Amino acid sequence: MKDFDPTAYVEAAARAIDLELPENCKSGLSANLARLAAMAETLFAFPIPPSDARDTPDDA
Amino acid sequence: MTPDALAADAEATTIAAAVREHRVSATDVVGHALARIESHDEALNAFTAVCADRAREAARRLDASIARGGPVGALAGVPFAVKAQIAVAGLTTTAGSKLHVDDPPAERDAVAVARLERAGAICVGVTNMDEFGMGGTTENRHFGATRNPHDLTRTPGGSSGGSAAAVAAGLVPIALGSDALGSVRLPASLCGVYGLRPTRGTVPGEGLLPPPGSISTIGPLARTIADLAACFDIVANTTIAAAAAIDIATIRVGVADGYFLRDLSREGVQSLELAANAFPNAVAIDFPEAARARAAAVLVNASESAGPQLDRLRVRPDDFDPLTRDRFLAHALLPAAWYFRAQVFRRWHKAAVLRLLRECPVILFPATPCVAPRIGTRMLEVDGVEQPIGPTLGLYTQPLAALDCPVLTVPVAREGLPIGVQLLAAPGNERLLFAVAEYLQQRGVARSTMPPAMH
Repeated sequence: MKDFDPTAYVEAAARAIDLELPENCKSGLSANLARLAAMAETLFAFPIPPSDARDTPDDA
Repeated sequence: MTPDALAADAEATTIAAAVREHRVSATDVVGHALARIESHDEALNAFTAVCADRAREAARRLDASIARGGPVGALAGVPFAVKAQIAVAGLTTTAGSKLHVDDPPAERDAVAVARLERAGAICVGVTNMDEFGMGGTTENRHFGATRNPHDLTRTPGGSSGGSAAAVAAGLVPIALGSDALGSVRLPASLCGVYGLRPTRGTVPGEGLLPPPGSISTIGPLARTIADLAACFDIVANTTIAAAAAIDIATIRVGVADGYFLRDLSREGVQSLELAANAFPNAVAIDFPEAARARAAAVLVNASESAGPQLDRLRVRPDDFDPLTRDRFLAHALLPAAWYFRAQVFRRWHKAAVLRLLRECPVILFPATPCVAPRIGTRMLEVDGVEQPIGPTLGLYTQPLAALDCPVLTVPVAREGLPIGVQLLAAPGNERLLFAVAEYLQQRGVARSTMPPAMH
């Protein structure tokens, strides 16, 4: 996700759920999101066979 | 001479037998436990609340029932502790957070707690944890830091650090914690006790605050495998402790390498080798996609953990620990596509691991990358990069968290600070894990040693 800008995303996403962000949290929030974005990127890069591409794990 | 049931390191099974056979009263056992807590917990800070009156009354009722010839449960008179996010009737369930300290007391025990009490066990208090389970060191901004009984300058791990410390110090023989990304297994490793993350769904999650998502489960901690199995049988309503023995010599044990060796300390390597060398049929195995499995577990847990907190984040953001607050805010804003991708990967990965478990029914892993860090440590180096300590201590527990499989941390007998190993089996196969751990215990490879200062 080379173009992912956590700071810009955070502002827009917070507005989308009507969440007011305290100023003193934005830096830590963006850093956390950047770390999670790096994790998500590894999952999107992994080719999962179409037969396994359902979004819920088995309950069994 | 002190009866065995009142020894500092008395096992739950020993206590229950002594109470059942009228060799010691539940009142004496509970009084002894409360005295030890009073003596040692100021230094440890394992407990956030001790329910002495409640415990003494329960012991008195049990003794009266036994005197009348009433039924005696399997854990009669055994004192136990409960992580602060698990409901105990009459006590406030704080989940380690300032946000809940003024809540009314719980009206009902969590199901797991109620089951232990129906078996005659007696809750003596609730234990410290990282706020809402968000951390790996039990350094709680509101309730203070819990200290590792093996070295009071060090963390017990987290987030079930209070429970692990209470068991390791011999304040109670059994305790309940909860484990999403490693919160039972990690502190069990650093405190040198057994800790079980059960198969998903085996231990009811009712009474856990916040309610569990698809990753978190309540799990027991103990100093012996017999006690752990006895506790698990009660909370999961199983009969594993009484099951027939398994011939471990015929079991193929996989030893995970690659990802699980890259950042492992010298002490961790030693523990892993001691355990691996005990098995005649141990083979190195390539555990699939460990880093991605870790990512998937973290993302699923992150997204699911944020939901219950959103309203509080809106109105009381400053009552959270700032580090916890920032993490929850990030979790609340995660794109749904990340969560769904993580669940898709989770499904694929679980199937791959289950295929592997058909070849190697038990897989051995390190539990933590290092021994307990000093309290106040903020960063650990991983792969040449400084990373936040909490998630990094979970380097080896997190890749196993989304498999729905049982995972058992086993304390390894060695000099120096404790560092355990993990054993993984297929869903529903806690019996095999207990048998393998019993095998290691009988051979002197697995052992929980109480620190001399706690005797």
